[in-house]
Amino acid sequence: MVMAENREAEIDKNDNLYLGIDVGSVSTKFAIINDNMELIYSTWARSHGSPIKSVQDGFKEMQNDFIDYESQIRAVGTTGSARYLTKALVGGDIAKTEIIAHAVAASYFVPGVRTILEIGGQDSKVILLENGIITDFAMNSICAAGTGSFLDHQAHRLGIPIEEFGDYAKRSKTDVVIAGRCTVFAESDMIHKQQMGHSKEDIIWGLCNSLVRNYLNNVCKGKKLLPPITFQGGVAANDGIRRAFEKHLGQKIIVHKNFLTMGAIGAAMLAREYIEINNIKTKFKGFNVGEMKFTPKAFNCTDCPNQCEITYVEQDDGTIIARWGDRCGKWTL
Amino acid sequence: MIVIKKRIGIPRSLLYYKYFPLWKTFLEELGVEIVLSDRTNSKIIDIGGRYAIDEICIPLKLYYGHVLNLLEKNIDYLFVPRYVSTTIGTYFCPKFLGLPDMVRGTIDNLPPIIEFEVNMQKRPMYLSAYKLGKVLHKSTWQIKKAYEKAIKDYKYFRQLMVDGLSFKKALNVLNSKNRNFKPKKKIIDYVAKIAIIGHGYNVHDSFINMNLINKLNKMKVNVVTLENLPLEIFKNQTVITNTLENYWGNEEEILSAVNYLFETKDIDGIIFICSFCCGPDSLIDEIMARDAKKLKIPYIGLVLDEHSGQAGVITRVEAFVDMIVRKKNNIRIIYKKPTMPIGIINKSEKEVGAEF
Repeated sequence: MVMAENREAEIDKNDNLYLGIDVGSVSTKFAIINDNMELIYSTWARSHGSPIKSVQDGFKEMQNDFIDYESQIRAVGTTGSARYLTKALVGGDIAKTEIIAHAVAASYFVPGVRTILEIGGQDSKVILLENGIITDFAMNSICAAGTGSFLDHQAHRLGIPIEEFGDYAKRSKTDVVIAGRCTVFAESDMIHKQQMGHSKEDIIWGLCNSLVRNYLNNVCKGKKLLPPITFQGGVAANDGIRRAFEKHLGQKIIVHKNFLTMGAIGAAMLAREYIEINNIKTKFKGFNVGEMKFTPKAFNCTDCPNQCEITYVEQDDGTIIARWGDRCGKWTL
Repeated sequence: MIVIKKRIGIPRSLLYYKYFPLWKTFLEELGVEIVLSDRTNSKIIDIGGRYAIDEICIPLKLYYGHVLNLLEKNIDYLFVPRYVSTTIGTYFCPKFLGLPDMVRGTIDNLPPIIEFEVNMQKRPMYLSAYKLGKVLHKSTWQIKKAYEKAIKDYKYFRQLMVDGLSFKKALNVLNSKNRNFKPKKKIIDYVAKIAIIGHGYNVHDSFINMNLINKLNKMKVNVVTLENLPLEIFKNQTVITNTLENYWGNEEEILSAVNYLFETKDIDGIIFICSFCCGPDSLIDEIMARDAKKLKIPYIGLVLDEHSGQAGVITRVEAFVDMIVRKKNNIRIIYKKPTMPIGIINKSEKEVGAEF
C-alpha cells in the first residue's frame, strides 16, 4: 500500500540512476535519483510487520515504470534498521546507518545545515554537522519516548487519525503540561488530563511539547544545536512537533519536502559515492526482486550454551542469501 | 591442618581480565590446578541475573554466573580475592571490597573460598601473595620463588599487550610457556584508529560487549585498548580538576589512558564502554565527553546491560566509524548544489544555537 509517492524529474535514456532503500521499523522508503541529484521517484509506505514483503511490494510498484531502465541503475544503497536484510534481498552495494544517510542527504538539500533532528518510528537521533562533515551525533538509548510508534498509539487511543495530529495541536488555546519523562507515564497523565476535562486539542499540543522536551533533554543532552536546523523522519510530518521544536529552540525549523525519504535518498547518494570511489559495478538483482520468492527460516544452534537463534533467508533457487544471529560468527554469511 | 587438593576454580570474570596472568603463574608454581569457568555465555548471564540483586551492575551479575558455572566443574576451592586497592591513593568500588562476602551470602553449597585481601594501602602486593601462599600451606621459600616467577610473567604479559597484542592473544602466548615471543609489528591497512576504553571486564569479555572488537576489526578499524598504551602513563595519579583527585581504582586507569590519548592525539576516536548503573563510570563518562568535545576528538559512550539491544549498539558504532572515516578523509557531497534554495534558511553569522 503506497501512501506517498513523489516524482520530480523525468527519466532520461542516458541518465545514470541510483536507488536507495530505507527500511525502518514502521515504514519502507524508496528513492531513485539521477546524476544531477534530481528525484526521479520516491515512495513511502508502512511496513506492516514483514520487511521482506514490504521491500518486495515496493519493487512490484516500481517494476512497471522502471523495468525498461533497469540497466541504468548504477548503484543500490540500503539503510534503516533492516539495511543488511534489504541489501541481501535486492543485491545492494552498501548498507549504511540511517545517521549517515540522513546527514548526507540533508547536507545536500539544505546547504550549510548544522543540526538534523531525526525522529523515526522507533528511534530518535540528533546529528550535528560542520561544513558538511558530521561532527557529533546521538541516539536515544534506553528510552523510546516521543518516537513515531508512540504518537501512532496515542492517536489511535484518542480516536483521531495521526495525519490530523498537527491540526489538532494548532487549534489548542491553552498549554497543558503532560509528564514527558516516560511514555507510560505520559499516557497515564494524558488520561488524567482528559478526565480533568481538558480538550483533545490542548492535550495533543501538550503531548507535542512534552515529547520535544524529552527529546531535547535526553537525546540532545550536552549538545549545542546551531541553525540551520532541519527536522526529518516520519514524525516531521507532524506539524505540532515541528512547532513545539520552534517554541523550545527559538529557531526556525526547516522541514524539507523530502523529509520522509531523506534516508533513502542518502542511501542512494552513498551507494553512488561507493561505486564511484571504488570504480565497481552494482550487484543489483533487478526490479523483478518483487517476483522472487524469499523464505525466512530459523533454527537454534545447539553447539554451545549460548543457543543462538540463527535466522536465514532462502531464495527460490535454494541459495541462502543471508544468515545471521550467531554470536561466534560461524554461521554469518 | 587442611589438606589442599589440587583444583582451584577461578571465575572468568571481573579482575580475571586484569590479574589472572599474575595469579595463574603464582598458583601453578605452588602446584595447584586452575579450573576456569566457561567463557561468558547466555546461560551464565541468565543464572547470574537470577541470583544477584536487581540494582547491581551486569559484571557482578556475571560473576555469580561464573561462580555457579564453576560449581559444576568439581572444584575443591573457589578463588575470590578481596581487592581493596592496587595503587596508592585509589580504591576499588565497594562491590569488589565485599565480593567474597557477597558470593558467600548469595550462593549455597560453595566449596571453601580462598579469600585474601589485596590492599596496597596497608601492605605491598607480595605480602598479599604471601598470605595466599600460607593459606595454601606453602613454605616461605616456595612462596617467594613462585611470586618472583609470577611477577616476571605478569610483566612479560603486560609488555606483550603494550607491544600491541590483545588480552586473549597475550594470554595464549603466556600459556605457551614461550617467553621469547616478540609480536611482529604488522603494518595493517586500516581506515581509522579507535580506542576502546573501559573496565577490562567490559572490554575483553566479547559476550558482554557484543563482540565489539571483532566488529570493529571487520570494519577495518585499528582497535587500541588501554593495556596497549605505554606503562608509564599509569604511574601518576590523575587529577580531575585542580583540587579533586580521583580515588576510584578502575577509573584511575581509564582517566590516565584517556588523558594520554587527549595529549598525544594519536587517535581518531574514543569509544567508552561502561556498564549500566556503574556510578564512577557515569561520572567520568561525562568528564571525558566534555574534554573530548573541547579537543574535537570524536567520543561516544556505550552503556551496556543484559537487556542491551544489539541493533542500537551496532547502529551507533557503525555511524561512529563512518563519521570518523568521512571526517578524516574529508568526504563531502561534491555534486553540484541545488540552484534553488529549499526552505528558508536562517543565515545569521552569530552562533545563536540553543545548548542542552
